[in-house]
Amino acid sequence: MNKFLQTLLIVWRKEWRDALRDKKSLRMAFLMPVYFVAVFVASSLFIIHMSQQSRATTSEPIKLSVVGAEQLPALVDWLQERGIQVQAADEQAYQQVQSGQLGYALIVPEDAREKFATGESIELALVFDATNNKLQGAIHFVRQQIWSWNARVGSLRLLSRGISPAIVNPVMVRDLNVASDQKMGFFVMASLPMLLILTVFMATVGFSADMTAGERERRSLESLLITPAPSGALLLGKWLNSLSLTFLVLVVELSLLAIAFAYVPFKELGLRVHVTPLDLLVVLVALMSLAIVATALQFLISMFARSFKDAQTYMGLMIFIPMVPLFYTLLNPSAYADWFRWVPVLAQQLVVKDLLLGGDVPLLAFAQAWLVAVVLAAIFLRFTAQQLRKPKIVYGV
Amino acid sequence: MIRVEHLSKIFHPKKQKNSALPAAKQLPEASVITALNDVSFTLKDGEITGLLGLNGAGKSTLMRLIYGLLQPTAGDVWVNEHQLSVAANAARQQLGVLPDDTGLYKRLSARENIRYFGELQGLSGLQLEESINQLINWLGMEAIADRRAEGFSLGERMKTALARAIVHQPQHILLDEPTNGLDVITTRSVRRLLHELKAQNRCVIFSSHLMHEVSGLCDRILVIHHGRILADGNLETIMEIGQATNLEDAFVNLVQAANKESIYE
Repeated sequence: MNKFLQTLLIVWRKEWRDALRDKKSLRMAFLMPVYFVAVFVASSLFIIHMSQQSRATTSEPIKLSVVGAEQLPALVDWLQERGIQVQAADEQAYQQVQSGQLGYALIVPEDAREKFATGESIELALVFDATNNKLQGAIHFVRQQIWSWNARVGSLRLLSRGISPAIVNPVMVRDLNVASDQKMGFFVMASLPMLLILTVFMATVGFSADMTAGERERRSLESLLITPAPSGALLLGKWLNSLSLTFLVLVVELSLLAIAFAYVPFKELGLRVHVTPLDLLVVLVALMSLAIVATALQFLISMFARSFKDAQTYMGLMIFIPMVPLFYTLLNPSAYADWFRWVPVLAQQLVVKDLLLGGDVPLLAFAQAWLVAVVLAAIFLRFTAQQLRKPKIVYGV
Repeated sequence: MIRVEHLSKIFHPKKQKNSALPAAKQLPEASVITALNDVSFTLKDGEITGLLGLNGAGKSTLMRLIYGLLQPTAGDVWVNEHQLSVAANAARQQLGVLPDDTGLYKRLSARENIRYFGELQGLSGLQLEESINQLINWLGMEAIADRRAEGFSLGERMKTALARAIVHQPQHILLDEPTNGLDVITTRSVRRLLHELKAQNRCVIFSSHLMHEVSGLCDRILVIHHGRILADGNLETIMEIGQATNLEDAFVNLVQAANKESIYE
């Protein structure tokens, strides 16, 4: 056993030195956390910006150009009462909207006053350009106000004739919009475990492929396997190298996140994000349980690849394994069952989400995640080690 | 001492999928390749043995069976008292192998490459460093010892690989075409090293398809063709069996005779 450990350390040390000199792969591995955190910060800032803007537009009064305002003073009064600034416009309003000089306009026909007095229907024209998304909200608001004035005047007319207005309103819809900026902020926060889990899977893909398929391609694997070093020690040494690199990449990513949490004004979203460095440390512990499975899987896959390029292709497909549960939970945020805690990726995602959103994580959840991870990784690594000296792996026959 | 007994190796190439054809029209099972056919010999310590054969004669397959990365279809190999099919790692400990077309770790220096393999063989400390220095000296690689292997010439690569293979001073040394593509100076230093190893009473076997290489170096020659040993003995014996006055003619005679035989069969 002593010799086994010694060999393991020799292999690890050599691979570590080799990896540190592989500047290109190192750059790729450590650029990923920077990139991911940058995306996270950028999308958070974008949503904060959006929410500030939407608040700004609602406080600004909506301006409406009306042609023939004097024909229907009752409607104009109502609109003004509702906070809409009514401006008079000339006969050219339609052309002006068409040419973009005016955003939208309301045209009241010349016989409106007469028709209103006699109780006939008046045809109002709301001119707008549907391709201009910026004005959708304002037009929607104006239209809504016209409809409610319409309903009001109609009800009054019915009442004056002794008929209940309820008769023409079989149903009434009351809009209760619950969507808020806070929701969006929650969505961003929920995507964070996904970024972290993808990092775990992808950080050392290049290194793992290089140490197995790459080593065979460069024809040094055969010489390595002719030595009396135990297959298990060779594989574990290489695996530890990938694992420790994944660890470093995660440390970088979580440190960057700690900085982001300190400076990004999440309060603006109404989100009370209170993530301490200690929380992030616990996140690291949870993610490392996934890292031992992910790196073991990298070795299993790249050992059976015919070449380095092949290995990279397979690993690219491997990324879809965590993506499936991640997307499912992202689209159904409320989905939860107790067995999720026994499934790698899902278990870690739950733990990380709870930690970031300030929930309590029971110690049992960690134990479950680690137990499953250790067993799975042991199975993967044992199987790979058994294959290592097979002619199929060394010579491809 | 390396003892090879009744060693055979048959490869089954991947069957071509032709399931559209009915069974009767399928190609016959002639695509089986017999790489080695009932080979037996014993290599003694203090001798250099040359394994002579054409490309594809089975030289590399025989080597791979001896160091145990291929499993024989029949027969077995002993390295001293260790039977390969039983105690492969114990047997490997006594072997120093330079495989065919081997690669180095490009981001490590020549010295680090050699040291890594010494450590894997269980050496450490002063003993390892001395052994490395001695090999660097013997092979004349002082100038490249601390340079990274990236960009090494073929000769520099071969020297490093050779040093890496024998850094643990194994009793048995297997070299698969060690002088392939090397220049005169490098070939000479390899040859000098082989003589040195012989003087230390080690058991050396190397494969080659170069006649002068084999005739100049070897105490014993094994002529291998289509997976069978055609002749076994010192230079004189081979020339006698091949009915010629030099090794090249003797070898060609032997191979042609074997080819005729297989046609008549």
